[in-house]
Amino acid sequence: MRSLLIAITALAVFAAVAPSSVQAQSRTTSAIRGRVYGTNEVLLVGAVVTVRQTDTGAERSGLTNQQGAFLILLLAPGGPYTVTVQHLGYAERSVEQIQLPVGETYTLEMYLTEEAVELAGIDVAVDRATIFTPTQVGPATRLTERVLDATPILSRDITQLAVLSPLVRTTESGGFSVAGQNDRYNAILIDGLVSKDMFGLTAGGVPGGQAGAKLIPIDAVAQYEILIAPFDVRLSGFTGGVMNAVTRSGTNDWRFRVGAVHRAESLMGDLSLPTGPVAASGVDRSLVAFSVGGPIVRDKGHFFVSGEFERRSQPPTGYNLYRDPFSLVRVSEQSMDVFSSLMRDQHGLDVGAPGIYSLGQELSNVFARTDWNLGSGNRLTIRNVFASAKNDQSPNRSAFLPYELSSNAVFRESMSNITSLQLFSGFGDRFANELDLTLQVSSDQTTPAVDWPQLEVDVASSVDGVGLRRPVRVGGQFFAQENGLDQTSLRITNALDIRSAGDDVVTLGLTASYYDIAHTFLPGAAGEYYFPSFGDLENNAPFRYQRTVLAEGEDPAAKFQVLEMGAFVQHLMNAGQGLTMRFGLRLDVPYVMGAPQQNTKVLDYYGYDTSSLPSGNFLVSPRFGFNWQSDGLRMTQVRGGLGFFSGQVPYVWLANAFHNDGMRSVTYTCEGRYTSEPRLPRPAPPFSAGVPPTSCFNPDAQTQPAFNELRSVVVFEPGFKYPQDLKFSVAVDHELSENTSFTLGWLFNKALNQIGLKDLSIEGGNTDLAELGGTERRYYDGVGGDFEQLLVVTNEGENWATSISAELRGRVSDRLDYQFGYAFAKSWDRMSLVFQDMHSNFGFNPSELDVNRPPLRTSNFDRPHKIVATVFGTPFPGLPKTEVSLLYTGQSGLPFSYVYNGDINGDGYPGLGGALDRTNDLIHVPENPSQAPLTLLTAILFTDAINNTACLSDHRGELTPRNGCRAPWENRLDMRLAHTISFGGRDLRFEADLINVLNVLNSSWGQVQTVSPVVPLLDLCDLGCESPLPARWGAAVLPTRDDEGNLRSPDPWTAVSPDSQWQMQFGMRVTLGGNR
Amino acid sequence: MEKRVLGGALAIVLVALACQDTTGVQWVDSLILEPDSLYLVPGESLEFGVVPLDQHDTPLPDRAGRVEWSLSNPDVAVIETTETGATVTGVAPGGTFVRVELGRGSGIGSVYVEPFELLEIRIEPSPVEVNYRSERVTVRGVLIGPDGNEVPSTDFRASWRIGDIQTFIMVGGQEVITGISNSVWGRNRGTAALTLVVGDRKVTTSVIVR
Repeated sequence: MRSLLIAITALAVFAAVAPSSVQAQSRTTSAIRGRVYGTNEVLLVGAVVTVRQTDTGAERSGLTNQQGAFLILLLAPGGPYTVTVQHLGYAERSVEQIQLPVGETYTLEMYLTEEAVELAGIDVAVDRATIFTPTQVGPATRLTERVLDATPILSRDITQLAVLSPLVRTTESGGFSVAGQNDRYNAILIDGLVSKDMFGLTAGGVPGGQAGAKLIPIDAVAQYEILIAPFDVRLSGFTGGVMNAVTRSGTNDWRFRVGAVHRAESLMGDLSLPTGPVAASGVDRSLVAFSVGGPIVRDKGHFFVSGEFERRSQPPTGYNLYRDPFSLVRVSEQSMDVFSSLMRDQHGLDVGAPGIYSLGQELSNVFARTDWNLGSGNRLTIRNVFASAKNDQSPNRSAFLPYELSSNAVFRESMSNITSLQLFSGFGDRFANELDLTLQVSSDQTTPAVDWPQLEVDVASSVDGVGLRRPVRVGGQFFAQENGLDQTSLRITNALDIRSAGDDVVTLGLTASYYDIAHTFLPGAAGEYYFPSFGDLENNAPFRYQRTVLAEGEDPAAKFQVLEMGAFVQHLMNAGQGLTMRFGLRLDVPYVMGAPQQNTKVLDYYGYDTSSLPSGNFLVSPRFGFNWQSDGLRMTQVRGGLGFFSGQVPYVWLANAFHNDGMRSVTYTCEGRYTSEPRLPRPAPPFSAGVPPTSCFNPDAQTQPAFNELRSVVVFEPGFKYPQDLKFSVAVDHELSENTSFTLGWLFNKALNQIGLKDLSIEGGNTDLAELGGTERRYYDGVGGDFEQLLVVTNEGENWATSISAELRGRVSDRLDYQFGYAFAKSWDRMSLVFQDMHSNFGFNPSELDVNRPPLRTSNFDRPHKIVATVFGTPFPGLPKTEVSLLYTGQSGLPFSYVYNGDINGDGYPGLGGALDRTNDLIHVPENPSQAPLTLLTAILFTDAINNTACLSDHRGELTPRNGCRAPWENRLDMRLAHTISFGGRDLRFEADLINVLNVLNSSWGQVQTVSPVVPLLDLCDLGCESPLPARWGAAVLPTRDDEGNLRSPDPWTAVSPDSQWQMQFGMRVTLGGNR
Repeated sequence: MEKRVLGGALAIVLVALACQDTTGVQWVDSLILEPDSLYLVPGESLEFGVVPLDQHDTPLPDRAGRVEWSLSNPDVAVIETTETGATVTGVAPGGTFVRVELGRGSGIGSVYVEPFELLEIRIEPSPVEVNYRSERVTVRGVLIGPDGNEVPSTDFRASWRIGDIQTFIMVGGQEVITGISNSVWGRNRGTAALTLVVGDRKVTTSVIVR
């Protein structure tokens, strides 16, 4: 309540000090402002300023005020626009070919001459870098239509263009981290309207992204912007960055375009593996695209439709049996034959393909839009964005993790439809209003390849007679066994701009979003068995069994709704002398409707209420931004801002509380191999593909329960608030020459409310340090209460990030545009929250000492260096329609941590093992591995790893820090060659893309390496060991021999295929009519 | 313009002050059982009340209904949970412990089921006179049943409470001593109270040390 009162007071203060007076435009529109001068630079009052979009006939007009200033709001981004000024006694004057950057204000100064001197004049707008606009405040990258056309993007996924910002890093999970922030904390917009998977199934945030769906056909996009820290309170729901695609609209000219792209394995290079090159195989891609736009009623109504349909196939990424060397695959052909025969003969089951097989993907995107000029400057836009995707997800074949056969693969299917309406209304010269309405419906379904339980079997392999094991998985993938999501959302926003008699604008806005979510997630619903050897499989004597069962009467889907309300006020002030300032204040309050069950055991023992979700907690976001522009021929611009940014909790994390209330479901477990005298009380039952077992193996049902029971809990702390960050940025832009400008910027980010996790079941237990694995660690033996892995979601997370960036952009002799950017960014946090599942977020967060209070360490999103360089244009004299584009990106490798495969500190992680393995115990690097409690082979390999890995050798005698290690630097150079032939009003454009040019030059260049955030380097102990001591080299890892025949520990990273190979693709498109 | 800038800055400061309200978590840290003992006869029902307290000793009465009750000897009595405690009904003569548990709190009470209700209890002799440090005087509890006759004490739990242990002591040397009879030994000259408690009945007399 106190928060609310103070916030309301603040709003009142704003209103009191806000003499209405500048320029405003939303993320969906643009604006033009300027002044009109007469003879002797006298400011002209009452001049008529008309802005006309020449392609559509859309027109808005206004009068200059007492200061000779005009401001035209609610213009559609892009152009071309013509601005015409008329004043009695002066000759009419126009400026043509104005292109408006989305969300920004274009400035113009018009000088009229007396009619006696000159009748009329027409100027062409100066093509100044879009960064030089008075409303530009925070760091941003804007991609114009020209850049979009020129940039080679293999996937034709517009969101991938975020890599063109030096402040954006790709993440291990395939998303984008903006300035070191969590990749789930970004906003994805289409024409300024939220078009994101709010549930957060994938890090990328694209609806249907789990199945690889694309946001929108690339031909439908006219501009794309990546906003790093926009200090505009109309934007909210993110603490990362904003990616906004501005779509094309139809015009008065008809425009048809059809295109096709093809790629095949013959157009790919070999995959360079540590043991040598491997020929590309099984890669194919075909895409057809079309777009059509034109008038419905000339100058009144227009439409634009674009579609893109694609099929892809490729082999599983990673190291595959039969294709790649045994030392990398680490399971032998013979062992897989034995495995397949065993399962077929004993159980009648097909374990699927152990080698390469074709993974298919089908993508469809259709975009449609219609725009209506309603007169008096009013406009109506209705658009529909449809996307569907089907994807065979690759089974894991990467290093350090279990090898999965095709029966363990997963099928994903998604559908998303977003319908939106935008009404732009002008009421006289002073008022402009924008009403946005969006309905989004989406479905994401995940299906395992087979419906029988998952089996994990440790398969013995050897290198030069050295016997080691690698787990192999078959059967229905554990997390896919019950997995689906349906979402519907309705969003409405209204923003009213009030222009003062002067030059300022106050914007008042209200927004409401309603989300209806049904999420089914019951990992292990069909069960999982673990066999430590083929012998155990042959005897059908598993060591472990687990299965998750829904409580009677429970709906498999967690259903809940979220209502998010927001209000904002912003004062955009032209303070004169080139200074523009922006004061804004935003209030957001989310309400969660529907609640998990109240688990009274949790409430009474720990004091936390499982039925209480973060609801009704206000988030207040004040923001201030400024922009100062110098006079003169070469402009210098200083800009920056300070403000709070309120984000959202990806709803998948809220759904965790529904699925894990400790009552809704229970995981039955059995552990121990059955013998005549079993060592553990409830050994695992024999494997059965059909009816699930009703108890562990032969328990005494009279005296003990049939199963061990595991009930997991996720609860939100009282008063939990959505993520909120403080951002500060300052940048200087300077025009070095007419066509060259330079930007130097600094950005600082600190979380005010950041999500943290604490496991209450180990809280308050033993705090003593114990000698474990060669060093002192905290050992948790004080697990209390009836629960294990009881997580409370807190605001105790913390993260800091800072970055310095420099960009040089310009044009060479009207032929080539270039942009070079570099950013150094550091990001620290206590935990990085990269998973959908909160138990994984906690359990995969390695920590020294207290896992409930992890220290601030390098974030998973930390990739310090990034270089982006683009050059594109028509470099060949005499060939003005032959374009060349080059795009280079280089960035630091992904960070990761070496951990033990086992629970050395007794904190309950990795827990059950197998599918629920969550390893978080950091490796201790001994001064001398030979003196550590290790086997001889492990000591040899560990010594080699320490000697060859700086992040290990730098920490001899101590624990390695979280994310203290890093995969290699990544280089990537892509090229496009395009040529257009024009004939009879038609354009025929041919494109040839060469992706990963560096890989053509040298097969070991251009490698994209992925690495798991935690790499289990050492196994703690074999089965049945009494004490958890590091005993053995990690089970999933086999050594290799180098050229001298020495055993070498393998690299923990894996080259991503086909991204690490050069690829060519050819495209062709025909355009009829139009001027775009 | 300065006014406007200052206004904006003031608003930002005000908003920054808008700190969040936080509510602490409350777990059940202890349980108060009231009374700590109940005395019944078979067929009779009496109530235990229970008050859960949080870690700051704040009562959490709305959680009392979730307290788990158990008896160490279910042959003696049965127990039924209510919103505020539990109802105990005597079944057969004897004693049983009652255990209550909720969250991190627990407690123990006792239930004594007597064969019938006593009409009267007496202390003999009354008052008790004893010479200073030179003699022991035997005191005895007399239990009178519903028919007015003395009944054996074997089915009843009796205890003695000494008013001032500096004045006299009994065998056992404590302030509370069980058993139906005992002996008094004068420690210092003076007078002090001696109370006999049988079930939920008590009677007091004076001990005069000469």
